[in-house]
Amino acid sequence: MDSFRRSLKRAGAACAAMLLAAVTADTGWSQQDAGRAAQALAKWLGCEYCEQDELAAVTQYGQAILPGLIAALNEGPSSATRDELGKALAERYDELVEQSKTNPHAPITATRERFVELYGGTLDAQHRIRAAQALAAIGGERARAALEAAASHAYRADVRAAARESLRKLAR
Amino acid sequence: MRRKTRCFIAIAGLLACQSIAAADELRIENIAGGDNVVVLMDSRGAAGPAGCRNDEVLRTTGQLALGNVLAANGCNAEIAVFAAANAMALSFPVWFDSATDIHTITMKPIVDVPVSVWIANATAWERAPLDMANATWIYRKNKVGVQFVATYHLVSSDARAVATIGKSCDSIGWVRRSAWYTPNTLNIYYVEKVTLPGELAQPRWPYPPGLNCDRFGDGDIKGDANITFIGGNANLATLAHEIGHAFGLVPGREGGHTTRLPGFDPSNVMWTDSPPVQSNMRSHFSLGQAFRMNTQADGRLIANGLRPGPRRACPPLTSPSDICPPLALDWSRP
Repeated sequence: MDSFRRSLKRAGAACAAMLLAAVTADTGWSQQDAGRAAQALAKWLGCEYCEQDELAAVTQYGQAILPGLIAALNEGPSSATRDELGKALAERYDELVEQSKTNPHAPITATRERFVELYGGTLDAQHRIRAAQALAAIGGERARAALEAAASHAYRADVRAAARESLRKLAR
Repeated sequence: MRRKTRCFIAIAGLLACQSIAAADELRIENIAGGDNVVVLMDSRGAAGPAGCRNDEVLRTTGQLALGNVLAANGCNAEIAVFAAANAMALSFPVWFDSATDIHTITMKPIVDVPVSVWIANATAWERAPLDMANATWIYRKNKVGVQFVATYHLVSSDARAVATIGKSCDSIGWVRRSAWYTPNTLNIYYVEKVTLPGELAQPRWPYPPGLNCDRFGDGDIKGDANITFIGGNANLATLAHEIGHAFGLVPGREGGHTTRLPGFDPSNVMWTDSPPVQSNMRSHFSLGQAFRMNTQADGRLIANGLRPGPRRACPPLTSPSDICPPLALDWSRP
């Protein structure tokens, strides 16, 4: 359990580092400001109920945070986050398969690869959709261009739909 | 004379040993799968006003020496037993001051919780059974005493069904009058997007991953904890989380959600807003949560008739008492 928590922390740190790199690109921010912005961005991309006004914490940075948002829209979560989630999901899958051997009410019909893809894909989409929403809230030409690209080229239908919805909000 | 003395000492020793070894005993029968069950016990352990022992957490595979449990004499006398593959047992022993009492509890089979799953979002057809298997795994692992027995209905191609089901609790009146609802049963609606009810609405982020309608209705109906919405953005743990609300871990903002509460961490199923990897892998319920889910008067295990009672009113943040253990009370895993 401890090693699991440590690896989760590592994934969080890697995610923040990736966002930090994206956020600091083309800005005159100090390392500290960039760190705060990256943290705010990570919270917004990952929050579930988002009760702490996470979106406002991102949009306060205005155009300066666009590189980070565009990176999240185009690339989804960091590879470290993906890897960590994939590993954790694979372990859980094995537990569920073990359970299914003795519990007919809990059958597992998906393969391990599909299981990981299914839940990993949801996280990937969530990052991109949240990025699209924040881009719409900030606005501007760069945001619009990124959203237009995602609206026509994003791999997942739900991400394309979110990009289109964000474009509609931009147009208002 | 010498022989008599030796004999006397030996007999006295035997008697002394006997009184040291004597202990009241708890016997738990019919434990499925040889589980090391968790016992939560209230009793009187010593004379006097400070002798009440509340919320002792013990473990056993069947027989447990308890020391000398005294007659209750004003203390609460209660034993709850939690097992991975049996229903939670709640028993009210009568103890005497002598250390020779034996209290036996016979465990009953695990509670099969029927669940009607309505898939209004076709992309959820594949994941719904996986969410459900994960929920069963989590509830069994934490010895809540239940497992889920789901029936799946694919209704996404029926426009009328999709429209009736809607995407939030403001549709519960329509839902309850429709064919897409099973009374006195957990009903899970997989929809594309869930929206927050008016009282929780946040203009900046209106799409929660899941929502249980325990206290959110349509103006006429105050709420229905048998109705839960799961959105397309839900993660692996969302269903287990929402069922926690249905079982009485409510309201979210008053201890139903454990986020940043003392004694909890992001591995808790009812924790919200942890980083995404942790959020997906949430799998922990405390013993205090497991107790409440089994006894909460308005929780669905009681209200749907899956458990006979007794009913308790122990909202998550209520002050610990004889009948309500602390929410964060727990047992050492495994």
